[in-house]
This record gives sequence, C-alpha cells and structure tokens, in this order.
Amino acid sequence: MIHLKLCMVGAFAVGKSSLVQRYVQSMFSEKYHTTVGVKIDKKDIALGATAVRLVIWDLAGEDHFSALRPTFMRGAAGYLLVADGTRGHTLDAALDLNRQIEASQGPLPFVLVLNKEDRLDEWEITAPRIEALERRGMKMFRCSAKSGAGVELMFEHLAAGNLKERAS
Amino acid sequence: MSLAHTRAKSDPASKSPSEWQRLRSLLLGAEQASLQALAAKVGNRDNLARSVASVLAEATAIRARQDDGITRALAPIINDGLQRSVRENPQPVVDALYPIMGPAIRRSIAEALADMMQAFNRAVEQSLSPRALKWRLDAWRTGQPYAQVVLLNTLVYRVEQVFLIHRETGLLLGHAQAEHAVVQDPDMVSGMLTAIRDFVGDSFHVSQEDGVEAIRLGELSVQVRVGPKAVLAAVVRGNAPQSLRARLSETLEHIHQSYAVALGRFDGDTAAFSNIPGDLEPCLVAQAREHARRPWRAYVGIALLVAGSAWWVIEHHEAAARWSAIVTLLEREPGFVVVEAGSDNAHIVRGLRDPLARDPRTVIETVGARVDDIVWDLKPYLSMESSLVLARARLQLKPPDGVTLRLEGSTLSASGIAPEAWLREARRRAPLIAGISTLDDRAIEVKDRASLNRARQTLNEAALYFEPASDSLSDSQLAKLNALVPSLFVLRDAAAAAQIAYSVDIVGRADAPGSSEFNLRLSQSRAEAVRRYLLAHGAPATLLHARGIGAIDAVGPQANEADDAQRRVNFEVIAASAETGDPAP
Repeated sequence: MIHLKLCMVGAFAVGKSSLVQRYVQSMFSEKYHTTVGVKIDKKDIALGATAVRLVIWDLAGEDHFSALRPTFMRGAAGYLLVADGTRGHTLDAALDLNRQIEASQGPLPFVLVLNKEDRLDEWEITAPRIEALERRGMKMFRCSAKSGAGVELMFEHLAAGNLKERAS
Repeated sequence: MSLAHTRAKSDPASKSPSEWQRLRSLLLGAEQASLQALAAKVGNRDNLARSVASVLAEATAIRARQDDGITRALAPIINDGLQRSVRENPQPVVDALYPIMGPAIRRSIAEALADMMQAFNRAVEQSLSPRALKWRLDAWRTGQPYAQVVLLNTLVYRVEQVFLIHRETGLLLGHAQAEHAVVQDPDMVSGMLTAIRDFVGDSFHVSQEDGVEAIRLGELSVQVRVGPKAVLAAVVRGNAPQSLRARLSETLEHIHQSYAVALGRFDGDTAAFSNIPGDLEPCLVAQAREHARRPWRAYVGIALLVAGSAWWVIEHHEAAARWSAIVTLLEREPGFVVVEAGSDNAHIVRGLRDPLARDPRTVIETVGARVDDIVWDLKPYLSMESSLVLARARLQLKPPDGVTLRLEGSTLSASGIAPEAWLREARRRAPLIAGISTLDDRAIEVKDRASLNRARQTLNEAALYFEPASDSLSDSQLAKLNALVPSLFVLRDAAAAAQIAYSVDIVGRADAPGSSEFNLRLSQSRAEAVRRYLLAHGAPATLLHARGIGAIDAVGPQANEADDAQRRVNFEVIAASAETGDPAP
C-alpha cells in the first residue's frame, strides 16, 4: 500500500475542514486546530490497481504562512491550496501561502481549490482571473463542501499525480 | 571361405604384435577410441567426480521419488555433521536458526500468555472479592473490558502499542499492539504524534533529536525514540522502567540496520515494511505487580481450617469416648450381650438382649449422649445372670407382699408369709423357670396357718374362773370370754383356708371339796355354760365340744394348784392337717 501525506492549507474559514470532513475517516475533533494547529485524518482509496492511504494533515487556517507551522508540511506528497470563491482576498492569501511554501519546502505538487461552488452567484473570484491562473499552469478545482461536488476528484487528482510521477 | 583360408594358411605365432594391433584398429578402431575415452573418465578420479557431479542432483531426485533410501543414508551423516558443526562453531547454526526460533518462541509465548490470560480472567471474574467488585464497577463505568481493568490494576506497566513512524512524513511504517489493548487508528495516531512532536519542537525551539522523549498523561505515557530515519513510539500504561527505554532504543537501532535501504528511499510504499510488526512485538512487554500485602484471606482461611480441624478432633475424640462409654455400659449391663458396636457411618449396636433387661436407652442415659441416632439391632435371649433369673422368677411367680425371693446358685429361696395357694403354685412352677433348679421355701410361713396357730394359742392359754360350786361366770370372766370370740372366727376361717379340720374342746373343772360326782357335774355344767355363751355369740356349734372332768386328782402335776384356780374352764384346740401333711402341734 502506498501511504501519502497530503496537506490542506488556506486562509481562515475557507472551508478546508468542511472539505476534509466530506471526504475522510476521522477520529480527532476540531479543537486540535486551535490547540496543536493541525488535525490529521485518513482516507483509503484505490487508484486503478493501487491501494492508496491518504493521510491528510488539515492545517489550521492562517492568512500568513509565518503563522502556519512549516514543519507540518515536511514530507508531504502534495497539498491542496484552498480558497473561498465568495471571498476574493482568500485567493490572494492562498497564492501568498503557496509562494511561501515553495520557498521553504521547494516545489511540491499542489492543486488550487475554490470552495463554495454551490454559491456561484456570490463569487468574487472572476472567470478571467481563474483563466489567468490556469494559464500559469495551476490545476484548479471548483468544489462545494456543502454538496460534496468535486471533493473526491481533487484528492484523487493529487494522489494520481503522485503515482504517475513515481512510475515515470 | 577366405577367413578359413587365411586361418589355415597363417600361423598365429608367426604374426608380429604390431600386425595384430593394426588388425584390431582396422576392425575395431571407432569402438577402441570410445572405450579409451570411457576408461579415462572412469579411471581418472577427477574426471569421474566431474561426470557424477553433473548427474548427482538428477539422480538424487529420481531415487528420492522411488524410495527413501537416500534419506536413510543421509540422516546419520547430517546428524553427525550438525553435531560436529555445533561443537566446533555453533554460530552459523545459531544464525541459521535465529529467524525461525524467534517467531516460534514468540508465538508459543503469546499463545501461553493468551491461555493464561483467559484462565486468569476466568479466575478473577469468578472471584467476588471487594477489589474484584470495584474493578467490575470501574469496567462498567469506563466501558473498558473487565480484563483490561484487571490488567491496569495488577500490572506495574504494560506496553500497549508500538508505532514505527517515518520521521520525515509522519507516516506509519509499522504497528504492534498488545492483546486487549484499546487501539485507535494507528495511521492517524502516528500522524498526530508527529504533529505534536513538531508542535512542541517549533514552540520551544528544540531540535528534532532533542524533541519530545515522553508524553505523560496520568498513568499513560508515550515513550519516543528518534532515529535518523524513523521514530519509535511506545504507548505505556504504568511506570516504564529504564530497561524499557533501552529496549526501545535497541529495537530502533536494529530496524535501522535491517531496513537501511528501505528507510533511505521510502516514498510512501510500505510494502518493504510488512515484517515490521514482528520486529516491534518484543517491545510489547509487561510486568505484573507483586503483591506485598499480607495474604490475610489465606491467614483467615488457614485459621478457620485449624479451628475447624481442632473442633473436629475434639468432637471426634469426645464422641469416641462417649461411644466407648456407651458400649462399656451396655457390656456391663445384665441381660445384654454386645456382639458388635460400630460408629463408622452410623452408631449401631448388634447383640442380644434379655426381654427383662432394662431399656438400652435408659442404660446409656447416664452418659448424657444423644442416643437418637443409635441403630439398635438386638435379638432376644434368656440371660442366666442371677439378677435376670431373679427378675424372671419374680415375673413368673408373682410373689405376694411379704415374700422375699433370693437366688443362690440355681436355688431360689423364698421367705416371708405367703398364702398356701401361692406356695403350691410356686413349688410347681419354680423349677420350670430358666436358671432355677429348686425352690427352697422353708423360710415361708403359710399365711392362714399362722393365724390359726395364733388363735389356737390364745384359746389354749385362756382360762375362765368360777365361784365355788357355781357354774355362772362373773362379769369379769364374761368379758374375758367375750374377748375370745374373735379368735374362734379366725380359727374357723384360717382352718377353712388351710383346709385343716379342727375342733375345740371346752374343758370344765371343779375344786377338790365336794363329792366327785358333784364335781363332775359341776365341771360339766361350767363347760356347757361357756359353750352356750359362745354359741349365742355365733360360734359354730359343730366344732365346740363341752366336757367336764371334775376335780383334779390330788396326785399329779396340778395337785398343788389353789382351789380358786381349780374352778375353771379351759379350751383345747384339736387340729388335724388336711392336705399339707403338716402335723398340728
């Protein structure tokens, strides 16, 4: 079995925990975020013939990476950069976090996740901006923690990317 | 034809050896070459070994399929070889066996421990000591299995889980857990442990190597050992000794050695670490708490046992003494023969009892024992003991009041006053009674004859006196006569009872003066007067005979009597025995 450590990072209250909650098998309560700063969950999936165990480190939401503990990112196979579609500044914060992570950990596979797809009409993040980011090569997912749409896909994409890289 | 011709013409001796040789090579050239090659192969040791070696494995396989000849041939050789190898240098054998022995022993121990745990659990579950009840309550309160609670309370420490964690990623490489341990998802715990270590390291600015070595919460602690590539974390309940830390370190070092390559290039694939749980299991150690408490339960138990035994011994001894006393009493009691007296299961007395003997319950009453539980098996018999013979005589003869019976040997002696009828019956029956041969009744006075004798004596001794020449009784003499009347009735009744015939002569006398004829008449008249008086008072006439004998002769025994004394009437009772043959005096 392949074990992969994935991290969830993003600004405060963008719905990281809700997304994880949608997806995983959990044993720790939310209070770990405020105490230790991270909550760890697990998900067993099958990608083709390969059994994969995702160990998901859900990092407490901080707007600045300095407040985030870089050690929690150590050894991660990839991360999900989460922003709230209805709050434009969370995307700025996410991109800022991304730059900081790359600076401290080196390049790591990641996906940009825009949450709250269920409230598209309230979105502040515009389509042109999204297209601009995609043109920069960022893999972007729109999802909804509320409906569950797109949640599985973003985790599996990250895991599959890792397997593919490992095979090559 | 040509061969025959050649043989006939040629002399073998005339041919040179080289010619023969040439002929041979002409005829058998090819065969000769192959024969030489074969000889070279068989004759040369190296060649032979090489050719046998090339088919040895196949030959062995073929033979092994046919029978077990090779096995039998090799067994002693292998045994000898193994012994020699162990003698000379055991290390290679140890190394070869080590991977097999370790798991086998572990498994065996684990099974033994599991069995022991089960037995232990059963024993504890069945016990109802206050401590066990408290633990049961704790188990119910905390929702833990009962065995777990018992373990927690009886162990100094126990390693419940061991995690091997990849140091960089925090991913779980392996996990082992003790039986009955409560375990959460090891992957998540492993990640969280790493996160906490990171958190502490970040918060207090310490390097990873100096990071958290132990996390303690109440009686639970997590002992952490950090290696270059992996972290070993042991969850310990209770107080972990120093030796455990050393063991964890050794295990971690061993894993680093054994899995150096796999650890070095770990990328999330845990396949290379599938044997890690086996490596971690030796860390799952436990130490039971030694109870220094005084085993008061055992003391109380032993005390009770001793007291019980003492009570039993005393009771048993007393019971035995009582029983012995009872048996002795019964053996001494006349009319009892104790044949068997047992007190093994129940108290039982077998023997003989004379029907006239005392009730056995009465006999043993004096011992003061409870006698209800004695089973009596007594057959009747006739005892020849004197008291029983006497009792039997009394029962059969029914002696009247006033008669005493005694036994001397086989002679029954009777004494006292008894009715004639009883005496007759006693004489008849006494010799028929078991234990009695004769009846001695010389000391028996027959009741009726005695009164008869007394009455006769009274009458014989009585005398009624008269005035001179008078046949009238004075008042005083009449009173005297009146007092004699009852004696006459007694005489009559007693004689009738004793069946004795009797008669009373009333003898009148006169004094000397006067003519003898006159005196004779006077004496007759005096006797008649007395007779009339007696008849008038109911005396039977037939038995009373009056006669006068006149004056007493001047010579004779009564010649000197005064005249006053000579004027009198006397009684002479004449009795003749009817049946007794006892002559009247």
